[in-house]
Amino acid sequence: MLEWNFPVSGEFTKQVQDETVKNVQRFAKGMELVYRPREPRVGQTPRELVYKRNKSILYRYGPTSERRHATPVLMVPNLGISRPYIFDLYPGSSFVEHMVQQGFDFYLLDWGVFGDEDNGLTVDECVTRILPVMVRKALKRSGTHSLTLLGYCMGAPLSACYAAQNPEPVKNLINMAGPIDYKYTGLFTTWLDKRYFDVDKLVDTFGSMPADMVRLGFKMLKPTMDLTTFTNLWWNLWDDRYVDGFLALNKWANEYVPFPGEFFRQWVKEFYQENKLIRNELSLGGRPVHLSNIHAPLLVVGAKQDYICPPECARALMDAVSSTEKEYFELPGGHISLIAGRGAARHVWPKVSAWIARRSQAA
Amino acid sequence: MSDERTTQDMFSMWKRSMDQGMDAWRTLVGQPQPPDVFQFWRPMFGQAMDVWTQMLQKGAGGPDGLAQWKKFMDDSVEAWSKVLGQAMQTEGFAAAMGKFMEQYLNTVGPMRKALHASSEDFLRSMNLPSRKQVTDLAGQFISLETRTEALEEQIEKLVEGLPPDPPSKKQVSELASQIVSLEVRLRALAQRIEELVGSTARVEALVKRVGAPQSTPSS
Repeated sequence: MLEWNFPVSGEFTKQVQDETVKNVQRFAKGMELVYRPREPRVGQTPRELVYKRNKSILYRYGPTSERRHATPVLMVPNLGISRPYIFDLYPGSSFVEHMVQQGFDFYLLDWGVFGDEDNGLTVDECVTRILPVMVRKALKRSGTHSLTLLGYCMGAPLSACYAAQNPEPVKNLINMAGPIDYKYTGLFTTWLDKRYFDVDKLVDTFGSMPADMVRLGFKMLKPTMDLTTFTNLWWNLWDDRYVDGFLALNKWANEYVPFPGEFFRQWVKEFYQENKLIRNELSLGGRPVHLSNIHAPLLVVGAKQDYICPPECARALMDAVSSTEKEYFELPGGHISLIAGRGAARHVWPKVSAWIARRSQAA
Repeated sequence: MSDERTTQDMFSMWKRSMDQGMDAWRTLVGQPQPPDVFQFWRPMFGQAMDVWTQMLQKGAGGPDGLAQWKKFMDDSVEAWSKVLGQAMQTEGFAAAMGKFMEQYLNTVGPMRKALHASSEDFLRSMNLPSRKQVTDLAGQFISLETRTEALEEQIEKLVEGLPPDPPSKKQVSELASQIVSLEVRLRALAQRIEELVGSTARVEALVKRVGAPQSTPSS
């Protein structure tokens, strides 16, 4: 019979014990996820519906008693692609909750989920009809004449177009990971090139840009993302907090929204293929869009490893506006890291809220 | 040191229990000297444990093997991701994807058209609304909503254009009574004007009669 002598230490034993316990927990929680899946609760910050126009809804967050800044903040997210509850994922990981806790009168524009009946919606209508109404409603509800316009992702160029045509109500402008110079959008610049991508044929065939194709496009940007995600999930399956966060983020990451046909056609042609915005060649609602008309204080936030809107793509707004007061900062992480996750809560949100607070009227 | 003893004791206990188990099984089965089924794999197992012992003595391996495996996986996936990213960044890939998309749309387009046409025919025959009809109806609702909103905006603008202090009920009734009295006076004025016009006509007729030359008879 063999005698086995192991040079074990106390630490080694403890590590074995911890790892064994974790593996048992991984198995148990894995089985629970498979056999008793739970729907994550998202968007829990209290809100009221201020205005509804077709599918687009303007929400106001937070109780009035805690407001410390009179200048309201209107957040304009991306139209299509995904749902905006990423900004209010769950308590403790919610940008909306953070802003309300900082005392802001916070509004969020939910563009909605468009159907076949909305395939005629254009970028013109979004910037010259929907956005102005939402701004007016927010100003009227708050009883002010100007607000801070915060655009995220695609919402940033839409907000910039609105601000360029209507500078008066915009007290401050913020661009978080929003593409302005489409020469620098990485893979999308190559894939959507007019030599290779026939947007007319696609829109004429489907009427819209279907959600499944939007999902395919974004998944192709990082094909190994799902593998990494599930490996990390398995690794952290013993941690309830991680699993709760994963479920919420995974729900959002797999809930794609279609683009209205004409909106997508115009978006691809005039923004991605012809890059009209940065070249001052864009015209919406029959009026030119000149970013140099923006004089409001500007903050641009970029993410170093953002492959959807690389930093130089967002930073281009700094040189295009006429604002004298402007600031740019760049943080490590990807496109979503600015708006969700522990890193965002620690590094991005406090900076953004402090910047706005310094330029807002006290309540 | 006590933990080393504990672990060593645990292994010794396990080995003892294995051997005792085998003895008990032999007794139960009633076989005097069954072949030791473990005689083959036990040396191999022992050798593996010896190797692991040596590794531990050198400081390699251990319960962090899982973490090392995960790191290996992460690094491999990252490397693959970089390779795929570089491949997809090329114009060749974009061109290939564009060709694939074109062929896909060329195939799907007519199929969708045919499917829609046949669905419409079927639904029409069943006297049921088609998707297009529902969509058109929804579109009409949207345009109705848009017009209502435009009206709403105009009314809001009109209301905003009103003076800040709207007239009170008393002011309005005072204004109304002033308007009524003005009306009465206007009526009286109109009557006087009519009478004047009548007298003026009579005077004109008189003047005409008086001023008209008399006709002389011929002698």
